[in-house]
Amino acid sequence: MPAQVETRGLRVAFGPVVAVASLDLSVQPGTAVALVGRNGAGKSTTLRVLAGVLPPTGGDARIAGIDVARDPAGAKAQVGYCPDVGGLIPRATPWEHLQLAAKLRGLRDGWAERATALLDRFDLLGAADRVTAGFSHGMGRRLSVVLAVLHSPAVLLLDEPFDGVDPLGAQATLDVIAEARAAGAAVVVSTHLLQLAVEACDEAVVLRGGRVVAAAPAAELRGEAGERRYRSLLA
Amino acid sequence: MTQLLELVRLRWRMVRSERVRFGLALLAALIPGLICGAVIAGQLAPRGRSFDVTVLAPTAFLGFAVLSLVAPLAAGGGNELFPPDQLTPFPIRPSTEFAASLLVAPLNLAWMSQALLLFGVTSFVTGDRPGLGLALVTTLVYVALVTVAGQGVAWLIIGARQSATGRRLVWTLAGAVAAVVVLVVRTHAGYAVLDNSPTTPVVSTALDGAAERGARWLVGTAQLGGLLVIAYLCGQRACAWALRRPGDGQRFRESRTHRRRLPAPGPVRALARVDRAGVWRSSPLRRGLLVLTLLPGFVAAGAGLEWESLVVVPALVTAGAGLLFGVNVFCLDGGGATWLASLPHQPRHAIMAKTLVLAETIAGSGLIAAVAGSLRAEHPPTLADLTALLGCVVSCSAVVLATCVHVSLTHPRHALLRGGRDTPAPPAAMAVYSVRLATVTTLIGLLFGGVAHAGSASVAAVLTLGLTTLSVVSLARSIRSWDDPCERARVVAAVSSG
Repeated sequence: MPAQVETRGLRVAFGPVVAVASLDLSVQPGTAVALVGRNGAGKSTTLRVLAGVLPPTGGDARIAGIDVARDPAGAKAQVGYCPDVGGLIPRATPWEHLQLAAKLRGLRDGWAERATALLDRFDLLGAADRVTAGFSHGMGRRLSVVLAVLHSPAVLLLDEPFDGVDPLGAQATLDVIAEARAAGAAVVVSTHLLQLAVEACDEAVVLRGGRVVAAAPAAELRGEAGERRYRSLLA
Repeated sequence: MTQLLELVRLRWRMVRSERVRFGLALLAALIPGLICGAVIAGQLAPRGRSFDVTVLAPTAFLGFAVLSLVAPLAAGGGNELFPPDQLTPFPIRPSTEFAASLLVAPLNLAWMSQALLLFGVTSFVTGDRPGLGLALVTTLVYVALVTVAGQGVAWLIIGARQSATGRRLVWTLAGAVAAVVVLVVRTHAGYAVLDNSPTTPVVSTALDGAAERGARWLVGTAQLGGLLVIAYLCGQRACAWALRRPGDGQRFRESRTHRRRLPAPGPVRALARVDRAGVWRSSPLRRGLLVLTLLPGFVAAGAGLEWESLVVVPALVTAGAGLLFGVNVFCLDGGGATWLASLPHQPRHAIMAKTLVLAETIAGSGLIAAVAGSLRAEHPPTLADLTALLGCVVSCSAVVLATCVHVSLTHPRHALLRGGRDTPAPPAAMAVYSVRLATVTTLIGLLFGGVAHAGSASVAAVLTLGLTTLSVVSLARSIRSWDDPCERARVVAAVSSG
């Protein structure tokens, strides 16, 4: 089966700073991969390239077989992306975010019902018509996940979706990841919370200096032994 | 003082470009030079209307006092060296905040030009009398006094507005002031009021200095100096009080619900709707729009200007409207810029939506100021007057729009525009942008004023066509540059970081 997410020799440089050196990554439909690593390892930059927000400096990045550099709009249509920080328009309400996403993604009937159900699930229904500038960090994260999954994307890219989120919100995120996988989506999760990554994903890919330094079944990083192994890979 | 010096040093170090540093140093060096220039101009000006200028001098001093109150009020308590979110971890004292906002007060084109006018007027009314230096000292103390007092009053109002009762009180007060102004204008009592301006003794003190009546000058100037010290101390306390207030104003605005609307018909209109909400739901932008749009228009209406002078009013208003958020239009998206960039839409839709909202704001403000100003214009307009006024609004709007979109693309910045004092760019950059926009629009305004005076509607139409075409070409070039994904990524990264 062809990979839904595929990078070959992906390179991103900001002037002299190389954020992603040469990254090879492959995610099959119905699977979830955790990108883990220290700050500055290149996780968020990789997700930004895959989301079509940042053009790569070199190499290849494909979403559902579509080259993100050549056809960014086509690739974006397949992707649901939760950015790492912020990710929300400060003076728009959650409902306005959802309405805008539905319009730009060309969603037809039924999106409003799904949006309402998702807001309810993430305990945001009561805040659906308030501007996001007044939201706590955790509320913002939860809304970003809702926005990423609204259109049931073929590829779900979640950057730090659990950061500052309460246990119920984290569980709701784990549930939507599981549902996306069950529906055949490829999921990439970047996080520093190893145990949640292990719970959500089949495979963990450890990045360091913009390169893959290890890849292992997520279960192998479970528990204290897994934590020790992970720390040794970070050093 | 130590904190203030450290903040200034840090701000200076944060200016990375050598060219910008040179420009700022030049600007700082220019201020004393400009004051000297104004004084020399006052000395060299023909003395034909010396009596008229002396009679009008208290009005000019009063105008500066009003400006010194309105400017910090419009800026939510005065401009700031750093946005508050950047200083959260540091124990900055309110007295430092107050001193910092005073320090950047001259970085305001209206303040600077009016202050220069006062020095020029003082020099002119002093004439060739020997005590010019003493007269200028009085003016300097007066400028400092009203600037400090204006800042203090502004902080008081900002503090009061943090509670529902305070907001009601401020609106009542504003309504009362507006009613008094309307009453004065309607009863033609304006001249009588200005003749009794509280600034008349200030001008008299300056003239005492000019005439070397040392004792009287000393008493008058010392009184102003004493008031300055009192105003400074009171201002510090007002600032500390306002900053201590819990700030339920912002919480109230951010926690209230907004009515859901039906989806917009197309992607550009959907994006523009969100941008428009971003403007009207931001307290500094909403307040700035109200002050900018209504105040100059009604001042012009109150003054009953002639049509050729009226033309300059909307020109300056369009420049001010551009400065509200236009010089960094993508900051409206904030952190959401990254999410927006991940949505499947034509990149041009995003920039077109921003351009549309910006055009509405700039042209709308200019038009309202023009209409308000023309309500009491001195005589019925000729076709040339109307064409010049409309042409000026259109041309200035087009030029400001093109400049703002260009600057937004070349110098994108993260700016929250959430708190009352937030601006789309740091104070020095805002000063540069204001000089740039105000110079161009004033020149255009004067050009159209000349055309109105000459009575040529066709020249006004041709001028409008030419300036608008040039602006459209520049705007098209900016919009084309947005097609480059690297450019878009740079802008998105800049506005969403922070």
